Amino acid sequence: MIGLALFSLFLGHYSITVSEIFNILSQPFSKKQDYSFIIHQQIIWQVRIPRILLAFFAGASLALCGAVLQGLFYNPLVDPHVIGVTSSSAFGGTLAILLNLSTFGLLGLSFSFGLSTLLFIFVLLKGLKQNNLLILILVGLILSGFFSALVSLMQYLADTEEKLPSIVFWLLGSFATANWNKLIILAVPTSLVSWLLIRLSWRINILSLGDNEAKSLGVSVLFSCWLILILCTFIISIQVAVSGCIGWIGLIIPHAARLIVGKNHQYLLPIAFWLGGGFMMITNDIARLINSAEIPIGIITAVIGAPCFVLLLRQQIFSRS
Amino acid sequence: MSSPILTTHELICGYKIDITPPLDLVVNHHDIVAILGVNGRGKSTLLKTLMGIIPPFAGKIDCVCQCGFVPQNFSLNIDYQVWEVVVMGRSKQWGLFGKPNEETKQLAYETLTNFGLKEHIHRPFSLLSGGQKQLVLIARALLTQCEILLLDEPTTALDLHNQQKILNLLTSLAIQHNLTIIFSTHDPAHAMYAANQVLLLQENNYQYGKTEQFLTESNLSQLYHISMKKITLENSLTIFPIYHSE
Repeated sequence: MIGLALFSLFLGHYSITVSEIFNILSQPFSKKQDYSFIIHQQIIWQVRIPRILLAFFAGASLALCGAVLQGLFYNPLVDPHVIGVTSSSAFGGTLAILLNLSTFGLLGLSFSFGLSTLLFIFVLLKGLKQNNLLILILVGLILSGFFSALVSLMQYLADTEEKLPSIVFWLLGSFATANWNKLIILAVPTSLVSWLLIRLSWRINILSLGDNEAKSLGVSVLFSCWLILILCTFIISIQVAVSGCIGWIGLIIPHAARLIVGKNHQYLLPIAFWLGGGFMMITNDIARLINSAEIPIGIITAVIGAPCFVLLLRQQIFSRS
Repeated sequence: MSSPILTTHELICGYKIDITPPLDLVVNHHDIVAILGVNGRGKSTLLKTLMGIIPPFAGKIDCVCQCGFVPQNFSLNIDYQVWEVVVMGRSKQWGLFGKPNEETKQLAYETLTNFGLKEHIHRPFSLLSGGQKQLVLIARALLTQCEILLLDEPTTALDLHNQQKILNLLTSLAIQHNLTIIFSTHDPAHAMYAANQVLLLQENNYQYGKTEQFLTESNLSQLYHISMKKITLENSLTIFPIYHSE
Protein backbone atom coordinates (compact mmCIF):
# COMPACT_ATOMS: atom_id res chain seq x y z
CA MET A 1 0.00 0.00 0.00
CA ILE A 2 2.90 2.33 0.81
CA GLY A 3 4.44 1.45 -2.57
CA LEU A 4 1.18 2.29 -4.32
CA ALA A 5 0.96 5.59 -2.44
CA LEU A 6 4.55 6.47 -3.39
CA PHE A 7 3.86 5.52 -6.99
CA SER A 8 0.75 7.74 -6.95
CA LEU A 9 2.89 10.60 -5.60
CA PHE A 10 5.10 10.26 -8.64
CA LEU A 11 2.14 10.50 -11.05
CA GLY A 12 0.70 13.83 -12.15
CA HIS A 13 0.66 16.40 -14.91
CA TYR A 14 3.47 18.27 -13.23
CA SER A 15 6.56 16.09 -13.61
CA ILE A 16 8.62 15.50 -10.45
CA THR A 17 11.45 12.94 -10.37
CA VAL A 18 11.55 10.07 -7.89
CA SER A 19 14.71 11.38 -6.23
CA GLU A 20 13.07 14.78 -5.77
CA ILE A 21 10.02 13.18 -4.20
CA PHE A 22 12.18 11.26 -1.69
CA ASN A 23 14.16 14.40 -1.06
CA ILE A 24 10.98 16.40 -0.33
CA LEU A 25 9.50 13.63 1.82
CA SER A 26 12.67 13.28 3.88
CA GLN A 27 12.88 17.05 4.51
CA PRO A 28 9.30 18.14 5.16
CA PHE A 29 10.30 21.36 6.92
CA SER A 30 13.16 22.29 4.61
CA LYS A 31 13.33 26.04 3.85
CA LYS A 32 15.44 25.90 0.68
CA GLN A 33 15.32 29.04 -1.42
CA ASP A 34 15.33 27.09 -4.67
CA TYR A 35 12.12 28.16 -6.48
CA SER A 36 11.49 24.83 -8.21
CA PHE A 37 12.04 22.96 -4.91
CA ILE A 38 9.44 25.19 -3.20
CA ILE A 39 6.96 24.55 -6.02
CA HIS A 40 7.57 20.80 -5.88
CA GLN A 41 7.31 20.83 -2.09
CA GLN A 42 3.96 22.62 -2.35
CA ILE A 43 2.68 20.15 -4.95
CA ILE A 44 3.72 17.11 -2.93
CA TRP A 45 2.66 18.29 0.55
CA GLN A 46 -0.34 20.46 -0.24
CA VAL A 47 -1.83 18.73 -3.27
CA ARG A 48 -0.75 15.16 -3.89
CA ILE A 49 -0.39 13.76 -0.34
CA PRO A 50 -3.77 15.03 0.96
CA ARG A 51 -5.41 13.91 -2.27
CA ILE A 52 -3.93 10.39 -2.21
CA LEU A 53 -4.74 9.91 1.48
CA LEU A 54 -8.24 11.32 1.01
CA ALA A 55 -8.80 8.83 -1.83
CA PHE A 56 -7.48 6.02 0.35
CA PHE A 57 -9.74 6.79 3.30
CA ALA A 58 -12.81 7.37 1.09
CA GLY A 59 -12.30 4.03 -0.69
CA ALA A 60 -11.50 2.21 2.54
CA SER A 61 -14.59 3.53 4.32
CA LEU A 62 -16.93 2.71 1.41
CA ALA A 63 -15.57 -0.83 0.99
CA LEU A 64 -15.62 -1.51 4.72
CA CYS A 65 -19.20 -0.27 5.09
CA GLY A 66 -20.22 -2.30 2.04
CA ALA A 67 -18.76 -5.48 3.56
CA VAL A 68 -20.37 -4.73 6.94
CA LEU A 69 -23.82 -3.98 5.47
CA GLN A 70 -23.74 -7.03 3.17
CA GLY A 71 -23.11 -9.16 6.28
CA LEU A 72 -25.68 -7.35 8.37
CA PHE A 73 -28.45 -7.68 5.77
CA TYR A 74 -27.18 -11.15 4.69
CA ASN A 75 -27.44 -9.90 1.13
CA PRO A 76 -24.43 -9.62 -1.21
CA LEU A 77 -26.14 -6.97 -3.35
CA VAL A 78 -26.36 -4.40 -0.58
CA ASP A 79 -24.05 -1.40 -0.64
CA PRO A 80 -23.84 1.79 1.43
CA HIS A 81 -26.47 3.49 -0.79
CA VAL A 82 -29.17 1.11 0.35
CA ILE A 83 -29.87 2.72 3.72
CA GLY A 84 -30.63 6.06 2.04
CA VAL A 85 -27.76 7.91 3.71
CA THR A 86 -25.79 8.56 0.52
CA SER A 87 -28.70 10.23 -1.28
CA SER A 88 -29.68 12.34 1.71
CA SER A 89 -26.07 13.47 2.23
CA ALA A 90 -25.92 14.26 -1.47
CA PHE A 91 -29.05 16.37 -1.11
CA GLY A 92 -27.47 18.23 1.82
CA GLY A 93 -24.38 18.90 -0.28
CA THR A 94 -26.28 20.12 -3.34
CA LEU A 95 -28.43 22.35 -1.15
CA ALA A 96 -25.26 23.85 0.33
CA ILE A 97 -23.85 24.54 -3.15
CA LEU A 98 -27.14 26.10 -4.23
CA LEU A 99 -27.23 28.29 -1.12
CA ASN A 100 -23.63 29.38 -1.73
CA LEU A 101 -22.46 28.01 1.62
CA SER A 102 -18.75 27.62 2.42
CA THR A 103 -16.93 24.26 2.29
CA PHE A 104 -17.63 23.75 5.99
CA GLY A 105 -21.30 24.59 5.37
CA LEU A 106 -21.37 21.90 2.68
CA LEU A 107 -19.71 19.38 4.98
CA GLY A 108 -22.03 20.20 7.87
CA LEU A 109 -25.24 20.11 5.83
CA SER A 110 -24.30 16.93 4.01
CA PHE A 111 -23.32 15.18 7.25
CA SER A 112 -26.39 16.32 9.18
CA PHE A 113 -28.77 15.21 6.41
CA GLY A 114 -27.09 11.77 6.38
CA LEU A 115 -27.42 11.31 10.13
CA SER A 116 -30.96 12.71 10.34
CA THR A 117 -32.07 10.24 7.66
CA LEU A 118 -30.97 7.34 9.82
CA LEU A 119 -32.69 8.95 12.80
CA PHE A 120 -35.86 9.32 10.71
CA ILE A 121 -35.71 5.64 9.69
CA PHE A 122 -35.25 4.68 13.35
CA VAL A 123 -38.25 6.77 14.50
CA LEU A 124 -40.38 5.50 11.61
CA LEU A 125 -39.63 1.84 12.35
CA LYS A 126 -40.24 2.43 16.03
CA GLY A 127 -43.60 4.05 15.17
CA LEU A 128 -44.53 1.17 12.90
CA LYS A 129 -43.38 -1.27 15.61
CA GLN A 130 -41.15 -2.99 13.06
CA ASN A 131 -37.69 -4.38 13.68
CA ASN A 132 -37.38 -6.28 10.46
CA LEU A 133 -34.22 -5.59 8.44
CA LEU A 134 -36.12 -6.03 5.17
CA ILE A 135 -38.45 -3.18 6.15
CA LEU A 136 -35.38 -1.10 6.94
CA ILE A 137 -33.96 -1.75 3.45
CA LEU A 138 -37.32 -0.84 1.88
CA VAL A 139 -37.57 2.39 3.87
CA GLY A 140 -33.95 3.14 2.94
CA LEU A 141 -34.69 2.61 -0.76
CA ILE A 142 -37.80 4.80 -0.58
CA LEU A 143 -35.84 7.61 1.10
CA SER A 144 -33.03 7.13 -1.40
CA GLY A 145 -35.51 7.65 -4.26
CA PHE A 146 -37.06 10.64 -2.49
CA PHE A 147 -33.72 12.40 -1.91
CA SER A 148 -32.55 11.56 -5.45
CA ALA A 149 -35.64 13.40 -6.71
CA LEU A 150 -34.79 16.36 -4.47
CA VAL A 151 -31.22 16.35 -5.80
CA SER A 152 -32.65 16.46 -9.34
CA LEU A 153 -34.84 19.39 -8.27
CA MET A 154 -31.76 21.22 -6.96
CA GLN A 155 -30.03 20.60 -10.30
CA TYR A 156 -33.10 21.88 -12.14
CA LEU A 157 -33.14 25.05 -10.03
CA ALA A 158 -29.38 25.65 -10.22
CA ASP A 159 -27.82 28.32 -12.38
CA THR A 160 -26.55 26.48 -15.48
CA GLU A 161 -23.41 28.59 -15.87
CA GLU A 162 -21.88 28.25 -12.46
CA LYS A 163 -23.72 26.14 -9.89
CA LEU A 164 -24.98 23.28 -12.02
CA PRO A 165 -21.46 22.23 -13.13
CA SER A 166 -20.29 22.43 -9.48
CA ILE A 167 -23.19 20.29 -8.30
CA VAL A 168 -22.72 17.70 -11.06
CA PHE A 169 -18.95 17.50 -10.47
CA TRP A 170 -19.40 17.16 -6.72
CA LEU A 171 -22.17 14.55 -7.10
CA LEU A 172 -20.07 12.38 -9.37
CA GLY A 173 -17.30 12.30 -6.78
CA SER A 174 -13.96 14.04 -6.86
CA PHE A 175 -10.80 14.53 -4.82
CA ALA A 176 -9.80 17.63 -6.79
CA THR A 177 -10.44 19.92 -3.84
CA ALA A 178 -8.55 17.74 -1.37
CA ASN A 179 -6.67 19.53 1.39
CA TRP A 180 -5.40 18.76 4.88
CA ASN A 181 -8.60 19.99 6.54
CA LYS A 182 -10.78 17.65 4.51
CA LEU A 183 -8.32 14.83 5.07
CA ILE A 184 -8.45 15.25 8.84
CA ILE A 185 -12.27 15.51 8.77
CA LEU A 186 -12.44 12.18 6.93
CA ALA A 187 -9.40 10.31 8.25
CA VAL A 188 -9.89 10.68 12.00
CA PRO A 189 -13.51 9.42 12.22
CA THR A 190 -12.91 6.82 9.51
CA SER A 191 -9.92 5.36 11.39
CA LEU A 192 -11.78 5.28 14.69
CA VAL A 193 -15.07 3.90 13.32
CA SER A 194 -13.27 1.36 11.11
CA TRP A 195 -11.40 0.10 14.14
CA LEU A 196 -14.69 -0.29 16.01
CA LEU A 197 -16.37 -2.04 13.07
CA ILE A 198 -13.44 -4.46 12.72
CA ARG A 199 -13.68 -5.16 16.46
CA LEU A 200 -17.38 -5.97 15.85
CA SER A 201 -16.51 -8.54 13.18
CA TRP A 202 -17.57 -11.63 15.17
CA ARG A 203 -20.82 -9.93 16.13
CA ILE A 204 -21.39 -9.28 12.40
CA ASN A 205 -20.60 -12.96 11.70
CA ILE A 206 -23.41 -13.96 14.03
CA LEU A 207 -25.84 -11.33 12.73
CA SER A 208 -25.20 -12.54 9.18
CA LEU A 209 -26.79 -15.89 10.12
CA GLY A 210 -30.18 -14.20 10.42
CA ASP A 211 -32.24 -12.76 13.27
CA ASN A 212 -33.48 -16.03 14.74
CA GLU A 213 -30.07 -17.67 14.73
CA ALA A 214 -28.47 -14.62 16.33
CA LYS A 215 -31.19 -14.45 19.00
CA SER A 216 -30.79 -18.16 19.73
CA LEU A 217 -27.08 -17.49 20.38
CA GLY A 218 -27.97 -14.84 22.94
CA VAL A 219 -27.14 -11.80 20.80
CA SER A 220 -29.16 -8.61 21.18
CA VAL A 221 -30.01 -8.24 17.50
CA LEU A 222 -31.72 -4.86 17.55
CA PHE A 223 -29.05 -3.10 19.61
CA SER A 224 -26.19 -4.57 17.58
CA CYS A 225 -27.83 -3.71 14.24
CA TRP A 226 -28.49 -0.09 15.17
CA LEU A 227 -25.01 0.38 16.60
CA ILE A 228 -23.49 -0.91 13.36
CA LEU A 229 -25.85 1.19 11.22
CA ILE A 230 -25.00 4.34 13.18
CA LEU A 231 -21.27 3.69 12.78
CA CYS A 232 -21.66 3.08 9.03
CA THR A 233 -23.86 6.14 8.57
CA PHE A 234 -21.33 8.26 10.40
CA ILE A 235 -18.48 7.51 8.01
CA ILE A 236 -20.59 7.27 4.84
CA SER A 237 -22.06 10.73 5.38
CA ILE A 238 -18.61 12.19 6.10
CA GLN A 239 -17.23 10.50 2.98
CA VAL A 240 -20.06 11.92 0.82
CA ALA A 241 -19.54 15.34 2.40
CA VAL A 242 -15.83 15.50 1.55
CA SER A 243 -15.71 13.68 -1.78
CA GLY A 244 -19.24 13.34 -3.19
CA CYS A 245 -21.19 10.24 -4.20
CA ILE A 246 -18.92 7.42 -5.33
CA GLY A 247 -20.68 4.23 -6.33
CA TRP A 248 -19.60 0.64 -6.90
CA ILE A 249 -16.68 0.53 -4.44
CA GLY A 250 -18.97 -0.53 -1.59
CA LEU A 251 -20.42 -3.27 -3.79
CA ILE A 252 -17.50 -4.83 -5.65
CA ILE A 253 -14.61 -4.57 -3.19
CA PRO A 254 -16.33 -6.73 -0.50
CA HIS A 255 -16.89 -9.41 -3.17
CA ALA A 256 -13.23 -9.29 -4.21
CA ALA A 257 -12.13 -9.43 -0.55
CA ARG A 258 -14.44 -12.42 0.03
CA LEU A 259 -12.76 -14.28 -2.81
CA ILE A 260 -9.37 -13.69 -1.18
CA VAL A 261 -10.07 -14.45 2.50
CA GLY A 262 -13.50 -16.08 2.67
CA LYS A 263 -16.60 -14.96 4.53
CA ASN A 264 -15.40 -14.62 8.11
CA HIS A 265 -15.70 -10.90 8.83
CA GLN A 266 -12.68 -11.05 11.15
CA TYR A 267 -10.50 -11.35 8.04
CA LEU A 268 -12.91 -9.90 5.47
CA LEU A 269 -13.29 -6.45 7.01
CA PRO A 270 -9.59 -5.50 7.27
CA ILE A 271 -8.96 -6.81 3.74
CA ALA A 272 -11.96 -4.89 2.36
CA PHE A 273 -10.66 -1.75 4.11
CA TRP A 274 -7.17 -1.95 2.59
CA LEU A 275 -8.38 -3.19 -0.81
CA GLY A 276 -10.98 -0.40 -1.02
CA GLY A 277 -8.35 2.20 -0.14
CA GLY A 278 -5.90 0.81 -2.71
CA PHE A 279 -8.53 0.58 -5.42
CA MET A 280 -9.60 4.18 -4.84
CA MET A 281 -5.97 5.38 -5.01
CA ILE A 282 -5.64 3.72 -8.44
CA THR A 283 -8.99 5.18 -9.55
CA ASN A 284 -7.82 8.58 -8.36
CA ASP A 285 -4.62 8.23 -10.42
CA ILE A 286 -6.68 7.34 -13.50
CA ALA A 287 -9.00 10.31 -12.89
CA ARG A 288 -6.04 12.66 -12.74
CA LEU A 289 -4.08 11.30 -15.66
CA ILE A 290 -6.44 9.96 -18.31
CA ASN A 291 -7.33 13.42 -19.55
CA SER A 292 -6.01 16.95 -19.12
CA ALA A 293 -9.41 17.86 -17.59
CA GLU A 294 -10.14 15.74 -14.54
CA ILE A 295 -12.76 12.99 -14.91
CA PRO A 296 -15.16 12.56 -11.95
CA ILE A 297 -14.33 9.51 -9.81
CA GLY A 298 -17.90 8.16 -9.93
CA ILE A 299 -17.69 7.73 -13.70
CA ILE A 300 -14.44 5.74 -13.48
CA THR A 301 -15.65 3.51 -10.62
CA ALA A 302 -18.82 2.76 -12.60
CA VAL A 303 -16.91 2.00 -15.82
CA ILE A 304 -14.46 -0.29 -13.99
CA GLY A 305 -16.96 -1.54 -11.41
CA ALA A 306 -19.69 -2.92 -13.66
CA PRO A 307 -17.50 -5.36 -15.65
CA CYS A 308 -15.50 -6.23 -12.50
CA PHE A 309 -18.74 -7.10 -10.73
CA VAL A 310 -19.75 -9.44 -13.56
CA LEU A 311 -16.32 -11.13 -13.39
CA LEU A 312 -16.51 -11.47 -9.60
CA LEU A 313 -20.00 -12.95 -9.77
CA ARG A 314 -18.80 -15.41 -12.43
CA GLN A 315 -15.85 -16.36 -10.21
CA GLN A 316 -18.11 -16.86 -7.20
CA ILE A 317 -20.58 -19.00 -9.16
CA PHE A 318 -17.70 -21.18 -10.43
CA SER A 319 -16.13 -21.48 -6.98
CA ARG A 320 -19.50 -22.66 -5.58
CA SER A 321 -20.05 -25.26 -8.29
CA MET B 1 -37.32 -37.41 42.49
CA SER B 2 -36.24 -34.84 39.83
CA SER B 3 -36.96 -31.16 40.34
CA PRO B 4 -38.55 -28.87 37.72
CA ILE B 5 -36.16 -26.98 35.45
CA LEU B 6 -38.76 -25.34 33.23
CA THR B 7 -42.43 -24.63 33.81
CA THR B 8 -44.98 -22.86 31.65
CA HIS B 9 -48.16 -21.22 32.89
CA GLU B 10 -51.03 -20.93 30.42
CA LEU B 11 -48.42 -20.42 27.73
CA ILE B 12 -49.84 -19.67 24.30
CA CYS B 13 -47.40 -19.46 21.40
CA GLY B 14 -47.88 -17.68 18.11
CA TYR B 15 -46.67 -14.74 16.02
CA LYS B 16 -49.78 -12.70 15.32
CA ILE B 17 -52.42 -15.30 16.11
CA ASP B 18 -52.38 -17.96 18.80
CA ILE B 19 -51.16 -21.27 17.42
CA THR B 20 -50.89 -23.50 20.45
CA PRO B 21 -53.51 -24.11 23.14
CA PRO B 22 -52.66 -22.71 26.62
CA LEU B 23 -49.89 -24.99 27.89
CA ASP B 24 -49.13 -25.81 31.53
CA LEU B 25 -45.97 -27.86 31.35
CA VAL B 26 -43.50 -28.98 33.99
CA VAL B 27 -40.20 -30.22 32.62
CA ASN B 28 -37.89 -31.83 35.15
CA HIS B 29 -34.10 -32.04 35.20
CA HIS B 30 -32.77 -34.70 32.80
CA ASP B 31 -36.13 -35.20 31.12
CA ILE B 32 -36.14 -35.91 27.41
CA VAL B 33 -39.35 -34.44 26.02
CA ALA B 34 -40.63 -35.16 22.51
CA ILE B 35 -43.14 -32.76 20.95
CA LEU B 36 -45.48 -34.30 18.38
CA GLY B 37 -48.21 -32.77 16.27
CA VAL B 38 -49.27 -32.28 12.69
CA ASN B 39 -47.74 -29.52 10.53
CA GLY B 40 -48.69 -26.02 11.63
CA ARG B 41 -49.67 -27.04 15.14
CA GLY B 42 -46.89 -24.93 16.68
CA LYS B 43 -44.04 -27.31 17.48
CA SER B 44 -41.32 -25.00 16.12
CA THR B 45 -43.10 -21.92 17.47
CA LEU B 46 -43.21 -23.46 20.94
CA LEU B 47 -39.48 -24.26 20.82
CA LYS B 48 -38.64 -20.74 19.62
CA THR B 49 -40.81 -19.28 22.38
CA LEU B 50 -39.08 -21.41 25.01
CA MET B 51 -35.74 -20.25 23.57
CA GLY B 52 -36.78 -16.58 23.76
CA ILE B 53 -36.51 -16.04 20.00
CA ILE B 54 -40.16 -14.97 19.86
CA PRO B 55 -42.12 -13.62 22.83
CA PRO B 56 -45.02 -15.63 24.28
CA PHE B 57 -48.41 -14.75 22.77
CA ALA B 58 -49.84 -15.13 26.27
CA GLY B 59 -48.88 -16.75 29.56
CA LYS B 60 -45.40 -17.08 30.99
CA ILE B 61 -42.35 -19.27 31.18
CA ASP B 62 -40.34 -19.92 34.34
CA CYS B 63 -36.83 -20.98 33.47
CA VAL B 64 -33.72 -19.73 35.19
CA CYS B 65 -31.18 -21.74 33.27
CA GLN B 66 -29.41 -21.32 29.94
CA CYS B 67 -31.09 -22.86 26.88
CA GLY B 68 -29.30 -23.97 23.73
CA PHE B 69 -31.14 -24.15 20.42
CA VAL B 70 -30.58 -26.41 17.41
CA PRO B 71 -32.62 -25.16 14.42
CA GLN B 72 -33.74 -27.24 11.46
CA ASN B 73 -30.45 -27.51 9.60
CA PHE B 74 -31.91 -27.71 6.09
CA SER B 75 -33.35 -24.22 6.47
CA LEU B 76 -29.96 -22.69 7.25
CA ASN B 77 -27.67 -20.91 4.83
CA ILE B 78 -24.37 -20.75 6.67
CA ASP B 79 -21.22 -19.95 4.71
CA TYR B 80 -18.65 -20.23 7.49
CA GLN B 81 -16.20 -23.00 8.29
CA VAL B 82 -17.33 -25.68 10.72
CA TRP B 83 -15.14 -24.49 13.63
CA GLU B 84 -16.34 -20.91 13.11
CA VAL B 85 -19.96 -22.06 13.39
CA VAL B 86 -19.24 -24.00 16.59
CA VAL B 87 -17.33 -21.22 18.40
CA MET B 88 -20.34 -18.92 17.86
CA GLY B 89 -21.96 -20.90 20.66
CA ARG B 90 -19.77 -18.95 23.07
CA SER B 91 -20.71 -15.52 21.69
CA LYS B 92 -22.39 -14.44 24.93
CA GLN B 93 -19.04 -14.65 26.69
CA TRP B 94 -17.13 -12.45 24.21
CA GLY B 95 -19.31 -9.41 24.64
CA LEU B 96 -19.95 -6.88 21.89
CA PHE B 97 -16.41 -6.29 20.67
CA GLY B 98 -14.88 -9.65 21.57
CA LYS B 99 -13.79 -12.66 19.56
CA PRO B 100 -13.29 -16.36 20.36
CA ASN B 101 -10.12 -17.03 22.33
CA GLU B 102 -7.79 -20.03 22.03
CA GLU B 103 -9.58 -21.86 24.84
CA THR B 104 -12.93 -21.60 22.99
CA LYS B 105 -11.36 -22.77 19.74
CA GLN B 106 -9.78 -25.72 21.56
CA LEU B 107 -13.11 -26.62 23.12
CA ALA B 108 -14.80 -26.45 19.70
CA TYR B 109 -12.10 -28.71 18.20
CA GLU B 110 -12.49 -31.21 21.09
CA THR B 111 -16.29 -31.30 20.80
CA LEU B 112 -16.11 -31.77 17.03
CA THR B 113 -13.50 -34.51 17.46
CA ASN B 114 -15.75 -36.27 19.99
CA PHE B 115 -18.57 -36.10 17.45
CA GLY B 116 -16.35 -37.73 14.80
CA LEU B 117 -15.97 -34.55 12.74
CA LYS B 118 -12.23 -33.95 13.20
CA GLU B 119 -11.44 -34.01 9.48
CA HIS B 120 -14.26 -31.55 8.74
CA ILE B 121 -13.20 -28.81 11.18
CA HIS B 122 -11.96 -26.47 8.44
CA ARG B 123 -14.53 -27.40 5.80
CA PRO B 124 -17.35 -24.99 4.87
CA PHE B 125 -20.52 -25.85 6.81
CA SER B 126 -22.57 -25.68 3.61
CA LEU B 127 -20.63 -28.62 2.11
CA LEU B 128 -21.45 -31.04 4.96
CA SER B 129 -24.11 -33.73 4.77
CA GLY B 130 -27.39 -33.29 6.67
CA GLY B 131 -26.26 -35.57 9.52
CA GLN B 132 -22.92 -33.78 9.86
CA LYS B 133 -24.65 -30.40 9.88
CA GLN B 134 -26.92 -31.58 12.67
CA LEU B 135 -23.92 -32.72 14.73
CA VAL B 136 -22.19 -29.36 14.18
CA LEU B 137 -25.29 -27.47 15.34
CA ILE B 138 -25.57 -29.67 18.43
CA ALA B 139 -21.87 -29.02 19.13
CA ARG B 140 -22.54 -25.27 18.82
CA ALA B 141 -25.48 -25.50 21.22
CA LEU B 142 -23.32 -27.41 23.73
CA LEU B 143 -20.76 -24.60 23.69
CA THR B 144 -23.43 -22.26 25.04
CA GLN B 145 -23.06 -24.25 28.30
CA CYS B 146 -26.80 -24.82 28.25
CA GLU B 147 -28.73 -26.93 30.70
CA ILE B 148 -31.70 -27.34 28.38
CA LEU B 149 -31.16 -28.33 24.77
CA LEU B 150 -34.02 -27.48 22.41
CA LEU B 151 -33.96 -29.17 19.01
CA ASP B 152 -36.32 -28.44 16.14
CA GLU B 153 -36.89 -31.68 14.22
CA PRO B 154 -33.32 -32.93 14.64
CA THR B 155 -33.91 -36.08 12.58
CA THR B 156 -35.84 -34.60 9.68
CA ALA B 157 -34.14 -35.01 6.29
CA LEU B 158 -31.64 -37.53 7.69
CA ASP B 159 -31.15 -41.12 6.56
CA LEU B 160 -32.03 -43.95 8.96
CA HIS B 161 -28.44 -44.44 10.14
CA ASN B 162 -28.04 -40.75 10.95
CA GLN B 163 -31.46 -40.64 12.63
CA GLN B 164 -30.31 -43.39 15.00
CA LYS B 165 -26.97 -41.65 15.52
CA ILE B 166 -28.66 -38.37 16.51
CA LEU B 167 -31.18 -40.10 18.82
CA ASN B 168 -28.40 -42.04 20.56
CA LEU B 169 -26.38 -38.85 20.90
CA LEU B 170 -29.34 -37.07 22.52
CA THR B 171 -29.83 -39.82 25.09
CA SER B 172 -26.13 -39.96 25.89
CA LEU B 173 -25.92 -36.15 26.17
CA ALA B 174 -28.77 -36.18 28.68
CA ILE B 175 -26.77 -38.57 30.85
CA GLN B 176 -23.17 -37.41 30.30
CA HIS B 177 -23.80 -33.64 30.22
CA ASN B 178 -26.74 -33.66 32.65
CA LEU B 179 -28.88 -32.05 29.98
CA THR B 180 -32.61 -31.69 29.75
CA ILE B 181 -33.67 -32.18 26.15
CA ILE B 182 -36.79 -31.01 24.36
CA PHE B 183 -37.14 -31.92 20.70
CA SER B 184 -39.88 -31.88 18.10
CA THR B 185 -40.39 -34.78 15.73
CA HIS B 186 -42.81 -36.18 13.19
CA ASP B 187 -41.87 -39.76 14.00
CA PRO B 188 -43.59 -41.30 17.06
CA ALA B 189 -41.04 -44.12 16.99
CA HIS B 190 -38.32 -41.57 17.73
CA ALA B 191 -40.30 -40.25 20.67
CA MET B 192 -40.80 -43.78 21.94
CA TYR B 193 -37.10 -44.59 21.54
CA ALA B 194 -35.56 -41.49 23.08
CA ALA B 195 -38.09 -39.57 25.19
CA ASN B 196 -39.42 -40.22 28.68
CA GLN B 197 -42.06 -37.46 28.31
CA VAL B 198 -44.21 -36.57 25.32
CA LEU B 199 -46.24 -33.50 24.42
CA LEU B 200 -49.00 -34.17 21.90
CA LEU B 201 -50.15 -30.87 20.38
CA GLN B 202 -53.70 -30.92 19.04
CA GLU B 203 -55.83 -28.14 17.65
CA ASN B 204 -57.51 -26.97 20.83
CA ASN B 205 -55.94 -29.11 23.50
CA TYR B 206 -52.82 -31.05 24.33
CA GLN B 207 -51.64 -34.08 26.22
CA TYR B 208 -48.43 -34.10 28.23
CA GLY B 209 -46.96 -36.85 30.35
CA LYS B 210 -44.97 -40.05 30.45
CA THR B 211 -44.21 -41.63 27.09
CA GLU B 212 -45.50 -45.10 27.93
CA GLN B 213 -48.74 -43.60 29.23
CA PHE B 214 -49.51 -41.08 26.47
CA LEU B 215 -47.86 -42.46 23.34
CA THR B 216 -50.66 -44.90 22.66
CA GLU B 217 -52.15 -46.11 19.42
CA SER B 218 -55.44 -44.31 20.08
CA ASN B 219 -53.81 -40.97 21.04
CA LEU B 220 -51.62 -40.99 17.97
CA SER B 221 -54.45 -42.09 15.67
CA GLN B 222 -56.46 -39.16 16.99
CA LEU B 223 -53.49 -36.83 16.54
CA TYR B 224 -52.54 -37.80 12.98
CA HIS B 225 -55.90 -39.19 11.74
CA ILE B 226 -54.17 -42.37 10.68
CA SER B 227 -54.10 -45.90 12.14
CA MET B 228 -51.06 -46.61 14.31
CA LYS B 229 -49.68 -49.93 15.51
CA LYS B 230 -47.53 -50.42 18.60
CA ILE B 231 -45.46 -53.61 18.63
CA THR B 232 -42.45 -55.13 20.35
CA LEU B 233 -39.63 -56.12 18.00
CA GLU B 234 -36.43 -57.72 19.34
CA ASN B 235 -37.26 -56.58 22.90
CA SER B 236 -37.77 -53.02 21.71
CA LEU B 237 -41.13 -51.28 21.73
CA THR B 238 -41.90 -49.29 18.60
CA ILE B 239 -44.85 -47.69 16.87
CA PHE B 240 -45.53 -47.13 13.21
CA PRO B 241 -48.34 -45.97 10.92
CA ILE B 242 -50.50 -48.27 8.83
CA TYR B 243 -51.11 -46.63 5.47
CA HIS B 244 -54.36 -47.17 3.58
CA SER B 245 -55.11 -46.05 0.05
CA GLU B 246 -58.03 -43.58 -0.01
